[in-house]
Amino acid sequence: MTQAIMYKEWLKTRGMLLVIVLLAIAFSTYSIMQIQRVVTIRGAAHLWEILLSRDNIFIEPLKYIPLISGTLLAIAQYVPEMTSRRLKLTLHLPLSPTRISFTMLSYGVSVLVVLFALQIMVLLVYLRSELAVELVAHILYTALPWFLAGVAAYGLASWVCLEPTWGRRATDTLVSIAILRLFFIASSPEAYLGIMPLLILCSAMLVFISFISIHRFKAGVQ
Amino acid sequence: MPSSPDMTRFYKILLLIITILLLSWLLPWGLRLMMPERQTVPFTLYSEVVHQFASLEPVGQKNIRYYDHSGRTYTETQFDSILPSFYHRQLIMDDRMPDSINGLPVDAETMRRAGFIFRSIPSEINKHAVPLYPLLESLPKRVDLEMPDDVFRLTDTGIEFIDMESNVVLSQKSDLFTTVMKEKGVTFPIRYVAGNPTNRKEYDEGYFIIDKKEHLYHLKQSGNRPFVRRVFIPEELHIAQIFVTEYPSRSTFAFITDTDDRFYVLTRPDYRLRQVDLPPTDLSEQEMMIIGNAYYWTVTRNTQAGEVYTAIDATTLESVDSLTFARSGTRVSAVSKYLFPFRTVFTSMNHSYFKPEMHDFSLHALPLGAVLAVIFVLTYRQRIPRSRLVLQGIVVLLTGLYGFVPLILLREP
Repeated sequence: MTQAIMYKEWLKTRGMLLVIVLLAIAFSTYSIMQIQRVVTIRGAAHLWEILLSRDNIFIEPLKYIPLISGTLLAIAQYVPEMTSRRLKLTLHLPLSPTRISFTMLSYGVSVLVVLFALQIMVLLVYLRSELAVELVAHILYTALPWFLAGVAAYGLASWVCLEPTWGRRATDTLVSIAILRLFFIASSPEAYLGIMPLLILCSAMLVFISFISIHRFKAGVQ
Repeated sequence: MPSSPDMTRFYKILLLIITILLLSWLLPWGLRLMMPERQTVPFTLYSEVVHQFASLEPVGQKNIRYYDHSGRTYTETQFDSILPSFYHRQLIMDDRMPDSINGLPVDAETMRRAGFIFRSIPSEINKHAVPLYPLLESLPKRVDLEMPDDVFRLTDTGIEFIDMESNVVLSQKSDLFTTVMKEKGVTFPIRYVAGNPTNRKEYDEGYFIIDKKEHLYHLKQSGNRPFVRRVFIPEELHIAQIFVTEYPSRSTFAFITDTDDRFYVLTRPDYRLRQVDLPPTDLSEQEMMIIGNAYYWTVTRNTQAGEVYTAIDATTLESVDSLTFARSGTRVSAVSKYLFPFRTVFTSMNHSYFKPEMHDFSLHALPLGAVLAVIFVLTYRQRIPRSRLVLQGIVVLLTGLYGFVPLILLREP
């Protein structure tokens, strides 16, 4: 049954996943090309000097892509569930509603984590060819909160989409925006390094916040 | 897997906590946004002519008042004349440059070289820096300094130079520097590194480093060779920060603070450590600025009490005068203390990190919390079980608006 649910989620999201993958490829390529342009025109030493002396980390174009990806995936996965109240049927499958919700959310977050991990790996391999390990760590530690924001955005967007009432949906949206703002509020490189374990834990917990909306849906809140 | 009701209860409590935190951040921030206030402190320097603090302060939209702190007022041109070191360019342009100050002959070039501005802000100290350092050639063949083609990293066993173009470790140079450093007594790993890795300066003094044994060393590159020298400091002095100065006067190597927040000057070329007569100042929490000339240093420190100005005799490094511009309470804080029991911040002027901190705890906000708690309890006494109602009432009492708003908006029907 779990596999069947996973397959259903795949059918719902494959189109959007293609968009998300293309988005990731386009912006990662753009960031890499921007770095390569500096290396070609001014030399690698210039790139190192800028990274050492300024707050520029050259992959800023990627900043909001994970956030957008997480939100789009949640919309693709849960808006169809809410139109025509299909979620009601899903929750009546011969599995506990908790298990069903957990499986659906796990599918989404797993897909995102794999995608983000691949994106980070590509950046890591390229950056390591041009830069010392300290500079690569500097860039990736700065970018890691953006990817965690993508995971959190998936959870929060799912929470909003699965909410059965419009009034509460508006409140949830405002709370979600405020939470996601926190992932971008500190602009200095590596600003989140000291709090990274807590940030990872918070992002992981936010993935399943939509249990509140599912509970309200099951309770028949209109 | 926990049951659905358990998970839902957990997430409801988590959501309440998150929302309280978010509101304790956003509501005080919104209030500050609505009530903008500007606190200005007059621009002040210690005059080497009248031996007083002299200030200029905007009056109204267009006028500026120039005065010293014995009560005399000045015109703009008179003000230039009582601060000749600071306004020497203007004095030269007006052909009003004095021949001597305090009986000693002066010229514009001497004044220019003796002047310096030092500024330390906590957010520059409390930040993550990449542990890679360019080591400039301190005896360049050309007039201007040039950035090197390599950077160094400090490992547990030595120093490693990496060529930036090829991203490869330069083993010959690394071995040479490591050998010389070890010969001079450096014990790896290095605990602290300070320098100005830029070529926008007149000369280069490389880095000051503190090794595993807490010994201070001077490291630079002179004629492609390592220059390493131990700087002897008292055993009981534990360095907190080093600021390599490289000022045109060439009279100092660095400013140094210790863990007891005392401020020192490491003089050039004799590597003598001299304490400056300043009250303890923790530069990791307080902003400091020094505008110095050949006669006095005007030191500005941002303290709890306000902006504290101290005049230091540039020769003796003794304090000669001080002045405090007290910080007045703002309208926002006057209102905030009755509205909000605390406020949460995630970023700060004192550091460059994301760091949740709670500030401004106020018992004055308890009455509002009590009123809101009573309103909450009376409104929901029929709809919420007694034990939960009491608990939620206590939350509203303690958190005021922050708890009241989410308990109303996120309440289950």
